[in-house]
Formats: sequence, C-alpha cells, structure tokens
Amino acid sequence: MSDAKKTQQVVLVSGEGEQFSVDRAIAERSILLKNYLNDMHDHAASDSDSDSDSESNHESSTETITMPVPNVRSSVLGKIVEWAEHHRGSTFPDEDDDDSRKSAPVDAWDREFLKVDQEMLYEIILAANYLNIKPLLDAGCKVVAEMIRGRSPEEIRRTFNIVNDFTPEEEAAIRRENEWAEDR
Amino acid sequence: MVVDDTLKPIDINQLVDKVSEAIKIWEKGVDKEKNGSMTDAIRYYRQALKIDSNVERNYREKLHEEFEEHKRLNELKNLKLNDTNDKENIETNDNHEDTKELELPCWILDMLPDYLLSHIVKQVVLLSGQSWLNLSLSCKKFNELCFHDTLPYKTFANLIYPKQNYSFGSVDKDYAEEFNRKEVWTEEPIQMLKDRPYIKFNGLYISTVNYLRHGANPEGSSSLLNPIMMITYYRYFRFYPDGLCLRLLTTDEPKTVVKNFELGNAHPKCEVCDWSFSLGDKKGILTVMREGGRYQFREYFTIRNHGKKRFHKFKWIESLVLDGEHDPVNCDISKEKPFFFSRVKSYEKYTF
Repeated sequence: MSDAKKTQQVVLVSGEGEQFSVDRAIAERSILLKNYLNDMHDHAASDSDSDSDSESNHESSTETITMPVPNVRSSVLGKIVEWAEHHRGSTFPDEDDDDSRKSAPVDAWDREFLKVDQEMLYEIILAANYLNIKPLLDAGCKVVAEMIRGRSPEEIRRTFNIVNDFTPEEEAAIRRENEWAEDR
Repeated sequence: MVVDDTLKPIDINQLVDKVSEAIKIWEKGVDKEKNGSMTDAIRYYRQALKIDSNVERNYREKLHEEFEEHKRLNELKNLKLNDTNDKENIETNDNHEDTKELELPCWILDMLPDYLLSHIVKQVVLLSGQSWLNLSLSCKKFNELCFHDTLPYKTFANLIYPKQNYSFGSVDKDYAEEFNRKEVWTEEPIQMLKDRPYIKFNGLYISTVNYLRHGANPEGSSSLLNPIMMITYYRYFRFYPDGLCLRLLTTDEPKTVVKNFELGNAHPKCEVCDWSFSLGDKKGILTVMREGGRYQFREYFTIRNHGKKRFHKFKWIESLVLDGEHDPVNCDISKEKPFFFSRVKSYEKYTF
C-alpha cells in the first residue's frame, strides 16, 4: 500500500450514525473493510485512471471514503477503533497459522482493554467477527476462556448466569463419561 | 443401687470416648491404606482394635450416617432451589415487570451464536482439561458444544499428539511423522482419541508395590518383633514432551514426592531417562531407557485404559539390562505392579 493510501481517511459510520474518522491503515485491520476498500474503491479509482491523468489519481487517494458499519453500535465501534489505533504498529502471528495464533497468550494491553462488562465484551467479539479482525476475536474469546478457567460448574453458572438444566444424575453421568478429558 | 446410678453416666461417657478414639485411629489406618502403606495401616488398625473390638462396625456405621446426612443435605438443597423457583414463578405472575428487572440475563448464551461459542470452547480446551469438563457440566448447551461436536476433540488431538515422542527405530523422523499423521490412525478425532494411546504430562504415573518379608528383629536378638513385615515402595515416572522423563524408586509417599519432582529441581535419587513410544501393530509400547556406567537399562510397558480413564495404566512387559557385549539380561518383574496416572494441578502450567 502506498503512503498516500495509508494516510487516506476513512469515515466509519456506526449503527446510530455517529462518525469515526480513521486512517485507512487503521480501518484495514478489519479484513472485511480492507477487502471492500480494495475491491470497490481501488477498482473504481483504476477505472477512472484509464481516462484521466495521474493528478486525478492522486486526488482519489487523498479523498475521504465513507464506510457505513450499520451492524455495530457507536460505543462498540469506538472501542474497536481504540483497539486498532493502539495496535497501529503491531504485527500479529500469521492469521492463517492456527498453531501460532492459538498458543499466544492474551496481550497485557488487550486484557486491560477487554475488562468491560460481559454485554460489551460479547458485542466486541461479535463486531470483531463481523468485521473479520481475527486478533481481536481471538483475544476476546481467550478472555472469556480465562473467566471459565479454574471454576467449578456451579461457579461457571454463577459467573455467566447460566441456568442448570441437568439433574444431579445427568451431571454425574457426564462427569463419569468425560473425566478422561481432564488428563493430558 | 445408688452407687450404680451414679456410676452409669460415667461409664457411658468413657465408652463414647473410647469408641470415638478407636474410630479416629482406625481412620488414620484407612488413610495409610489408601496411600498403599499397609504396614502403617495395619499398625493403626491393631491399635484401634485393642481399644475397641467393635471399631470396624462402628466405623462403617459412621460412614453410613455421613452418607445419609450428605444425601439429606442434597435433597434439602434441591428443595430450597425448587422453593425459590416456585416463589419466582409466583412473583413473575403477580408482578411481571418488577421481577424482570431482578433477573440477570445470560448474555453469553443469549448474544453469541454457536460458532462463536465453539470458538470459546476451543480456547477453553487449549487452556485446561478440567475447565473443558466443568464447562460441559454447566448446562446442556455447553455440554453439546464441548462433547457432541468434533471441533474440541480435534483441538485436543492436535494439542497432545504432536507432543508424543515416537520412535520408529531406524526410520527417518520426517517419514515417521508423516506415517504417524496419516497412515495409521483414522482422521476422525473422536475415534482417534479412543484408539491412539498417548502419554500424559500434567501429572505422575505411580506404581505402588507391597510385599511381605519375614519380621524384623532387634539388633543382637533372634526374637522377631513381628512375624512378618509388609514393605511398601513406590515407583514414579514424570514425562516431558521433549523425550525426557524422571524416574524414581523410593519408599517416600506421593504427597512428599510431588513437590520435588521436576527436571532441574528433582529429588536426589531421581534418574533422568529417555522415553519413546512405538506404535507397532497399533499398540502403544512405551520404552524408558537410562544409562548407568557401561550398562543400559530398558523398561517396556503397554499402555492401557483403566475404566473410563483412557491410557491411564502402564503394564509391565519386561525390564532389560544390556552391556553391549552379551545377551540382554531379563530382570524379575513378577513382584512389580502397574503404574497409574495421577493428575497434579501444579504441573499443568509447565506442560501446556
């Protein structure tokens, strides 16, 4: 990506219509937005290149692109932008390499960043999934997994307000059947 | 008569004291027996029997009472829960809006679709086996996602099998890995985890051996203190994914060994051995090898299930001593007992 494209401004519009102006490089942390920007805008720009001079190309790189993100609420989109701004220079383990992604512990800043109420945490996970931001999705899921770690079934239910729909006999049977999974 | 009346309550008190003291000593014996120390256990049992010859019956009655009490408590707890549910139902009917505010929503199940919940389950599987099981016990939905879907099994298989140290004799290692991955085992992870043995790293394998010998006699005397004496010793193994393992033969009980049983900080009598796993005719054969002077010691085991617990038991095949010049010598293993796996919480962080 050229420098001009990196600093090109993208205005993200939340579900409520609030606008977040970010550098294109920040918006492109989202693979969904990156593909969209590459496919739609660059394609349109190269189309216009064929019948215009290089000056107009330069103009298209500096113009602001507006991207509606209607599925994401303002408060959540704000958090996502904050995350992407913080990780402006970060490189993440190969996104297609499942092994390196899964073994990495949650980044300390991400852990602090994700100390939010559960509703917000799940909204961030949903938005990261929708926008296709794998490192944020992974961090969110790992934080939830850590909330489960070391807790008894009853404590897990209390943490997440889960209603126990097992009879004590069913619970005992499941424990017997799957206790092998505890040892590794 | 008067004398009798005053004595009676004292007798009962003394009797009660005796009975409870005997039970306390008997319980110590039970603890020792659980750990495999039969000699100590028998000592406590005899001591208890001397105080009260009915101690065994009293102990069993006490166990039964405790069990009944536990059952009643559980029933009571369930009743209380039902009660509160009923109350909530009534209140919901009476004043729907008020209770709605009090009810806490289950955001995780209400908001996240199954494929994202599966993603979380996957992370839980990677973090801890115990949490995997506990999450599945929280409700039917999570049980479905934890144990009735292929993904967690696949995650678990991908986590444990690459850490096994396979030996294929002279076969090239790359070839061995390829062979190991594709040819022998089904690709279906649920079945593979049932069929394909693996060594576990988050605990110890312990073999408890008891044997009888003639009784001890004090120095300078030919009279025996006891006619027979029971000896208890333990064999321990702790495995590491890099092909090393710790081996210890001692009379120390598990609770004292566990703390000092890691590479670099091991019990002084520990031996560092190499382990490898061969997969001839689909059976896991474990070899533990160590050098001592000009000798090489090799111990061979098969890996077996123990009830529902998979690959939980090592059964002795043979124990050889090789010196490179003569035929291997077979050591007597007729007194040896199988090893069983015991999970150790503090070992989890070192291995995964």
